[in-house]
Formats: sequence, structure tokens, C-alpha cells
Amino acid sequence: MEGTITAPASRAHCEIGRRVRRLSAWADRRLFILFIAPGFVCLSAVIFYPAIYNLVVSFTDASLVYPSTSFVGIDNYSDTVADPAFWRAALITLLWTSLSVAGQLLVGLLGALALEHVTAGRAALRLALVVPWAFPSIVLAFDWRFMLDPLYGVANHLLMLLGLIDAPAAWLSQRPTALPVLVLMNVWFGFPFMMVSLIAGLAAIPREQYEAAMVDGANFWQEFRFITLPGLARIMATLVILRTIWVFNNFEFVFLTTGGGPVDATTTLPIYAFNIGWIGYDLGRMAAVAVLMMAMLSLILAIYFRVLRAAEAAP
Amino acid sequence: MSWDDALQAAVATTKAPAHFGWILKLSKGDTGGGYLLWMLARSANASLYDAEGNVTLDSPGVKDAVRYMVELAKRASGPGALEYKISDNFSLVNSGRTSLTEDSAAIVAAAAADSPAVAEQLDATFMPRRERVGNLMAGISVALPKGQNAEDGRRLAAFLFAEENYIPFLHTIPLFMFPALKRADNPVFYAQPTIARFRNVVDVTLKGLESASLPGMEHGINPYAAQIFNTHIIEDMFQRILVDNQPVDTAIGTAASAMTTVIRDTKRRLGKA
Amino acid sequence: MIGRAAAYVVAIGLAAFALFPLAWMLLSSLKTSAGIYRFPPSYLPDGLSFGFYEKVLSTTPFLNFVANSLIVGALATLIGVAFACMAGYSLARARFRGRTLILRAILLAYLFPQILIVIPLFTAISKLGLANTYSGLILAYITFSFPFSTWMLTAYFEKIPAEIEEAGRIDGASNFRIFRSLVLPLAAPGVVTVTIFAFINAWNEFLYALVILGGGERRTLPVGLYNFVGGEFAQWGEMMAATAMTMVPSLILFLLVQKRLAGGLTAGAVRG
Repeated sequence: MEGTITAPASRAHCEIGRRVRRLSAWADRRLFILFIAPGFVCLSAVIFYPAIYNLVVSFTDASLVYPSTSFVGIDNYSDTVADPAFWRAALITLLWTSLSVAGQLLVGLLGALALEHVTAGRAALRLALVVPWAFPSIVLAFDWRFMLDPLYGVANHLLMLLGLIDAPAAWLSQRPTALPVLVLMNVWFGFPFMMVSLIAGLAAIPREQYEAAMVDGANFWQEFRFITLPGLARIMATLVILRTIWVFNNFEFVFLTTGGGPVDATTTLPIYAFNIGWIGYDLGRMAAVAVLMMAMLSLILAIYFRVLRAAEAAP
Repeated sequence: MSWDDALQAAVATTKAPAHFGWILKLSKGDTGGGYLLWMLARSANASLYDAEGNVTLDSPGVKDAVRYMVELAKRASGPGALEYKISDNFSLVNSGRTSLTEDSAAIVAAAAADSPAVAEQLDATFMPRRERVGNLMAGISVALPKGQNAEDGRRLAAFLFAEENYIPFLHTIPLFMFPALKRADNPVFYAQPTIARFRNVVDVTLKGLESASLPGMEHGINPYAAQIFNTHIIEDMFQRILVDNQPVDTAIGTAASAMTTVIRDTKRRLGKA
Repeated sequence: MIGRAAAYVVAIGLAAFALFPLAWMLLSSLKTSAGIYRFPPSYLPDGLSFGFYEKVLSTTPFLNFVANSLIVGALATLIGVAFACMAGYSLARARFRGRTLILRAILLAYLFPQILIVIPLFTAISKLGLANTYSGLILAYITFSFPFSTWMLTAYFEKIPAEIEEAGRIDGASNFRIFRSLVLPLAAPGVVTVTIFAFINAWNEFLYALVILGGGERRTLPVGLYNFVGGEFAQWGEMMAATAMTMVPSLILFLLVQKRLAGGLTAGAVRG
């Protein structure tokens, strides 16, 4: 390439050029590892570091307002396990999660199936059905709170028009209705996600199976039970896992809507943790709750995977 | 106005579901319940806790205040009392759905701007009294920083309080800010249109400030007030009474022990730190 | 056919259910100060009034919020997606030690409750001196957009036939050249989808924006929105107007992207 006689300055240039080329060649060989490096840092920041941090802090009495921290052994854990409010929160979280996920899946499936059999206007309907997914938690919480408001809410008016209630009710501040309404909101928010994935899943089921079934004279329900559901099983499993994790861990949604009220009717574990750490300033105990939350979720998922594997093994 | 007067007025003007007499704000996410309880207890010469931090939630004055608020909530507040926060007060008043409310003069200014029809009918009086009036002051006039920006803070304060700046500064949001200096208590201050229009509201506020204190600090500045109110113990207590129908004494007992724990933890922390 | 009619009934019914809250938000934002609190509420705007919109734009730093959200969102997305592309390519093509660990870690990232991450992340960002700065929030967003973006992109990269890269290597191109000129263009649809999705998430994110950049002029839109109702005084009309202005752009972006998202998610499912 080069090899002509050069003046000192350009020789220095050459020297640098050669170094850079060698460096980039070195980097290029290790491209894959280098490429993963920034990602690894991100993952550490979002998993390893918080996990270790929380594990460590959970054994101290760290506080949000006081600077001193001291080791307290397993006090945080024993206090939490002995607190009936913790178990209530766990129960509510399980209810909230299972009902929400089930509801989202059902409504999503309903929507996917309906769209499948719609011909004209499918695109427009599909766009309409996806809209709730685009709502950020804060918009969703406030929009629904406004609609459910006991004094000016349109929900009350509609229900009164339909003759279902006589007078405006406070849906979010009565024990029997607070959690169900929250679940309804979550179903409204989450069904598009299920629906969109299920539509893709439905499209993946081979046409021939349906054609064969029609030849055999199967009706809608038989088709559904023996072709559609098994075809969607894998996707539904994934969706349920993803959604369970999301709903179980979700904080913003419940916090912005009811804040955990009335009393503790909608106090899920994340809200319980929040109250301890941010309102009660007890970071140590909050970390302990968070660790216990993760353990709980892992247990749920482990059980779920076990069931899945068993279901897959026995056709 | 006595406790009874207020209750009668509230109940008399209640025409459910369109209009309510005194919509309380007992949401667990805010301090509406705690502040009102503090004001009413104070008017009965009672405190939530004393100067040494001993909890006096079960003293007769406080108990009466709790029962009074429960009665108000049940008879004159409508279905939303457990959902509303202090920040909802502006909507509640502007919508004209409540007759009475406890708040600062700011709410009148907001109505004058957003809801002139309602503002026409607004006026102010003192909080319901028993042995005295329990006035709540939610802020002090100026706090000077000690760490960063200490010098800038002092210069800003000097600028704001300067003769030629102070009253114009108070006038930037009329009815939201009131004079902390005697020399501002003069006709120029009262000449501002909104202030002049709601002169009675201003007078009541200024008179009330003379005997007002920060919530929880009627015996002097202490480190417990913030913790007590921010942990929403009192709102939780009201919710248990109104949602779960817990007997008032039981609920007060639970709240008292929660309060004791908070104060004890605070003392322990400060003893160390 | 009964089936077809039933499908229409269900689809239209669900669509009404899905759209009503959005419609009510828009409708309420166009009402007057008095109209919004009226009960029974009116179902048609009582005289189209942009009063709330004017109030939001004139009395709050709404446009500042928009600018803040744009800055944070754009930077976090660009850098974040770049990282995710790099990592996704690595994970799709290379077989190195720790690859399974990283794949599992990406899945694990979902198991973590936000509450678990907020305090340590905030502590770390404070210690770096980045609390209350754009950089702090951008850093936070890059960090947790990474798992999902990478998951999606890994799937896209895996779909690209290895022959293309073989051809490039035979021609003597460097790994980087292959990535940049051969693979990336083919993965472009996936990259675009992930970019838009990451941007929407940054645009809508609330908790970390509140904690890291919560005060004054640097607030992003969600935090600004929160102040309308969660702050000093609850102003439902202004809130609806502000919400409408916030949501409509991200809604449009979202509708563009939603079809592709399913592809990425199901691809993940197939990989298991």
C-alpha cells in the first residue's frame, strides 16, 4: 500500500494510522463480546446491583430520612412475616393478579376470535381495540378516576340510566367494589396485548386443520376445543407468564388509582412495600419485603412451569 | 360558629345526591382527615399528642372531635368523602356541590377565576369553635436555607421583603399570600381588587393567623408532626370507622398504638443520630 | 350466518368499551369550566371550548414538559436501541460463555418489581451526581429499556439468514462492516419497531421520572400531568386537556407499531 518516502510528520501519521487499524482489527475480532459489553452493564444495573443492594439493605435499618444505618440481622424479615398486613397484601396480590390475567386473556381471546370472523372494517376495529394499550398508567388512572368519580363521574350516570343503581356510588372507596373495579380497569388496559398476540397465534394455525374439521362436520365449539385452543396453547402460556409478572409487580397502576384504599382493600404487595419505605421511611424493611416478593413470584412461576411441562408431556 | 351550628348547617343544606353540606376529604393518600381532626381537637383544647410525645388520642376532646367528624361524614358528605383529597377541594367548591369546606382563602381566589357564579356566593368564617377556635397554619412565611445557596436565599428574602417589593409580591396571587410584616397591613394591600372584594375573607384569615399554629406543633416545634401526618394514621382510622364500621373507640385505640410506635421510632432515631 | 353477526356484535361492543374512556377524555377536555362538573354530565360538548387547552398552555410550563420528554426520550431511545442492537446481534449469532446467563438475565429483568429497583437506582444516580439531571433519567431509561429491546431484536436478528454474513465474510469484510452494511439494513423493520416502542415507553414513563427528575422545569410530561391532579389542586378539565395533548401523539405512534409488536413477542415465545 504505502512504501514511499515520507516526511516525518506524515510518518507519525502513518504510525497512528497503523495503531488505529490494529486496534480496530483487534476490536473487530472481538466484536461480539464488545457488543454485549454495554448491555451487560445495563443488565447489571437493572438486576445484579439492585438485587445485591436490596439483599444487603434488608438486613439493616436504613432509613429515608435518618443518615445512620446499622445491622439488624433478620429483624426486618421476621417483622414482615409476623405482620398480618403483609399476608393480606399477599392474598390481595394473588387475587388481583389471577383475576386480571384471566380476564385479560379471556377478553383478548374473545376479541381475537371476533376479529377473525369479521370481514369489512376489520382494520378499523382492530385499531380501536388496541387503543387501551397505548395508555400510560397515569393517564389511565386519572381518566378512569374521573369517570368513576362519586360526584361528577359519567359511569354513575350511565349505570343510573341503565337502571342498575339508584344513586351515585363511590366505586373506588368501598370494599366490595374497589378491587373488582381495579381488575376491570386492568382488563380494559391489558386485553389488547393478549389480543394482538393471539391474532398472530391464530394466523399461525394451519388452515388445513380447519378445513379437515369442516369436512368432518365439526361445529364451532369442537373446532375451538380441538384445533384453536391447542394451537394457541404455547402462546397463551407465554402471555400468561409475561402478564402475571407484570401485574404482580405493578405499582403505578394501583397507586395512582386507589393508593391501596379503601383502608387496605387494594393494598397489593408493591403498595405495601411502598408504604413501608416511602411513607414509613423504613428502607430496610422495604428491601426485605421486596426480596420476599421476588421469592413469592419465583415460586409462582416455578409452579406454573412445572404445570406447563406436565401438560406438554401428557398430550 | 359552634360545632353544632356547623353540623346543622351542613345537614340542612344536604340534598343528596346533587348537593352536600360539608364534603370531607378523608382519602388515605392525603392529610385531609388529620388536619381537620387536629383543628377540631384544638378547638376542644385537646391535642393528638403532648409536648413530650405522649399520645393523647383517647382524651375526651379528641374523641369528641372524631365522633363529630364521623357524624359529618355520614350525614353531610356524600359517597365521595373517602376518595377526596385536599387537592380536590378546588373542584368541589368550583362545582358548587358543597356548602361548607375547610380551606385557605386561596380557594376563594380560585373560584373567582374559574367559577364566578360560585364565587359570588362565597364568604369565610372561623372554624367551628368549642372552647376556642382551632386555626391551622400550613406554612411559615420564609425559610432560609443553611447549606447550599444560603447567601442567595438571604438576598432573595431581603428583596422580597423590601418596602417597594413586598406588597406587589403579595398581590401576584391575591388571597394566596398574606402579610407577615406589620408594615404591609395597610390600605395599599387591601386596595387590590380581589382582596377588596373578599375583604371579609381576608380579615378572617388575618385574625385567625394570630392564634394559629402548624398542625401538630401547638406545643412547639417537634419532630413528630411530619411523621404522624404523613403516615396517614388518622385517615386510616377514619376509613376503618366508615368503611369497616369499626367502633370509634377500637379505631382510636389502633391509631393510638400506631402513633406511639411512630413517635417511639422517631425518638430512638434522633437519640442516636 | 349467526357466527358472522355474533362476531360483529362482539367486536363492535368491545371496540366501544375500548374507546369510551378515550372519547370521554377528549370530550371532557372540550367542555367549559362549569360544564365539566355538571351532573348528569353532558354527552356532547356544551359549546366547543378550548378553554382548558388555553389554560394548560398559558399557566403551566406544558411546552417545557414536552421539550423535556422529547429530549430525554430521544436520547435514551437512540443510545438504548444502539446498545440493544449490538447486544441482540451478539446474542443471536455468537455462542460465547455466559450467553445463556445473559438470556436468562434478560428474562429475570422482568421478575424484578419496580419498587425493588427504584431506591438502588436512585442512590446510584445520586452518587454519580446525576440526580435531577437529564443524564440521570436518560441513564435510567437506557438501563431498563435494554431487556425488552434486546429480547425483540435478538429474535429479529436470528431470523436473518446466516448465508448473508457468510457471503460478506468470504468477500473479506470485517465483522463490523458485515453488521453495519449487511445485517442492520435487513433488520431495519425490527429496529424501527423497537425504537418507536422504546420511545413510547420513555415518553409515558412516570415513576422514575418523578423520582429522578421530579421538580420544577425539568419535569417530563407524565410528572407534569401528575401535578395537575396529584399536586396542589385537582383540575380535572386541565388534566383532560393536558392528557389529550400528551396521549394523541404517542397513540398515533403506537398504532403504527402495534402490529409488529406481536411478531416480536411471539418470536420470543417460539424461542422459549
